[in-house]
Amino acid sequence: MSITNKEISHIAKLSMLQIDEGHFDKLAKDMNAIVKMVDSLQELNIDEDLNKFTIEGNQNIFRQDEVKPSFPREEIIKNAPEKKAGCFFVPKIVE
Amino acid sequence: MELFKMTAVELSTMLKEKKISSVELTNSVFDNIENIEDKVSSYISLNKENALEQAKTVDKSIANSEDLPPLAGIPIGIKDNICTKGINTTCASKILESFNPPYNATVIEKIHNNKLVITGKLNMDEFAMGSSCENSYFKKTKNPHSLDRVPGGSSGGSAASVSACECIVSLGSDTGGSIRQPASFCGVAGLKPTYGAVSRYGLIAFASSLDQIGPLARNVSDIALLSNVIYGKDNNDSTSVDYIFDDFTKSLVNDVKGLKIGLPKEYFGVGIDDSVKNAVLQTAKSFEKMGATVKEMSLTLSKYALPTYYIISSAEASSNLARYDGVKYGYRTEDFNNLSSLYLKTRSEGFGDEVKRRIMLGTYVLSSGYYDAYYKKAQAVQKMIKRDFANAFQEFDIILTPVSPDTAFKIGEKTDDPLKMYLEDICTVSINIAGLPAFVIPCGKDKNNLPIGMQLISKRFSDDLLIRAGYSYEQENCIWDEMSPSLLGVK
Repeated sequence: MSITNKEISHIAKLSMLQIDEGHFDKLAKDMNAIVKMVDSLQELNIDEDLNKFTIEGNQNIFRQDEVKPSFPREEIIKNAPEKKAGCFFVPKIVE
Repeated sequence: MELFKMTAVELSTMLKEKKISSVELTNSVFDNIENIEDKVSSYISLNKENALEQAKTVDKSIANSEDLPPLAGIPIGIKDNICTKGINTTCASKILESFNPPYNATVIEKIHNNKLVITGKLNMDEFAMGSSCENSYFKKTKNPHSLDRVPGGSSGGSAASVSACECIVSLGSDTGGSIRQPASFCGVAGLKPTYGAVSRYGLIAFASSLDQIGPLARNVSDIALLSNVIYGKDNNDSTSVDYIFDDFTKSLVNDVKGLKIGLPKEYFGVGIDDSVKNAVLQTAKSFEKMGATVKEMSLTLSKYALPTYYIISSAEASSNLARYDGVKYGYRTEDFNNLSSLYLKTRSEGFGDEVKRRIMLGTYVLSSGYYDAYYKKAQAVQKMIKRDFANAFQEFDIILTPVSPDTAFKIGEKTDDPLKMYLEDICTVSINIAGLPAFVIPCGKDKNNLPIGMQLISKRFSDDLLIRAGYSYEQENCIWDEMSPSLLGVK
């Protein structure tokens, strides 16, 4: 399977990434090579016995939902690129 | 011998016998850093002032004859994707260049509790994506054995710093070979623990179901001592396993009699350099001489490990890295006019090319119409690979393989071709996919005098067996003398 330029633009949009025009061809070439490599899985058949194989200790671990002290607000917010009045600051979202 | 060249086991005894102080030792390591760091470039940031404070505290405790943990006062370097409170943790990315974690990773808490001295934060490929350390936003680390070559990756700084004696031991992380391949390239020991054995809390996530923190050192005993510090269940990591490992120093026993070792033929085939192949086969002979039985075997799904790995790891990465949006922490673009352009420009300016490729591959394999063909299929193959190993371990105790198809390559040699770089991981990724432990120690050198490593693999939770096998090999073969890089002068 190869990946078209249109698909690459779509994936970039889904990934919230902007691809510079000058880099597009190289990226398309690399992505196609990588997709071709991962495509080799398609030749392998999944055998029906696979469901019989269970992996030991492979279960979800739960904990009690207890209230515990968290971080102080100033500590958490100190790394924010922009903050105001003890809050993360973002551009206006709702008109 | 200069203190910085010694091992943790030796130094720990000298500290306790009051022959040296931790301040002397720490200064010795920083003197060496000062001498060679401009050549090797292992560190992203140094922590000298704090380190000397920590060392002073240890010395006081020793003077007061307090009971101290075995590694108290020993200088350790930390890969820069492990959160250290108050010390910037950049993941070698522009997007986290000024990130100052408000908390310590669990392994860092353990390092502090055991009173080790943190020398600084080590270079890596951005977000641990890469096999050469060339994807770092900040600098290219060099291989101490040959400065025009790569140290491997992604834990390139962790391996190079240990090899060049810029710390005594270090911590790295391994998602597809990121501890083992650089350990092999730099001629040091590196352990990738069983998945869930070491807490990932505070390890900046790349592929959460595969990531694991592990130790690097200049002999097997040091690996055992550092493993004792970092292993253990942690309630802050829901994938951490409640399994009590015995004291790893009890496995420092020279005895492999009766051990059944398998050599999977798929790992010795086309693409593996002859010098690597021969060195590892020579190791098998050595194990045989020591009383182990060695037999060729087959892991038929080996060639599917790489595509499976790149689908699963990229899918998880695309999801994990969605958090970098320029709002809560990290880099924010200056050029935006609404929320959408803030996200788009922040991420496009903040991430490097390899990280962008992986996010895009991950998004692709998870996207509507492709999910079944790629991600779902890869998960099924992952289970088949796990079963393949489980079957193998019914017959064998240990599987012995090369670590990487070749020895350290030249800087720039593979940067233009991502696929070529991905093939570096061909011998290591299956271990992460199956959640197994694997241990790398040096086993020889090639014609260019570059280190070659071997990989010992065992079943889940048999990490101690790897230590025993590695220790036995180390005792029978003088591997460490020739692993000291010439830039440090004569040992």
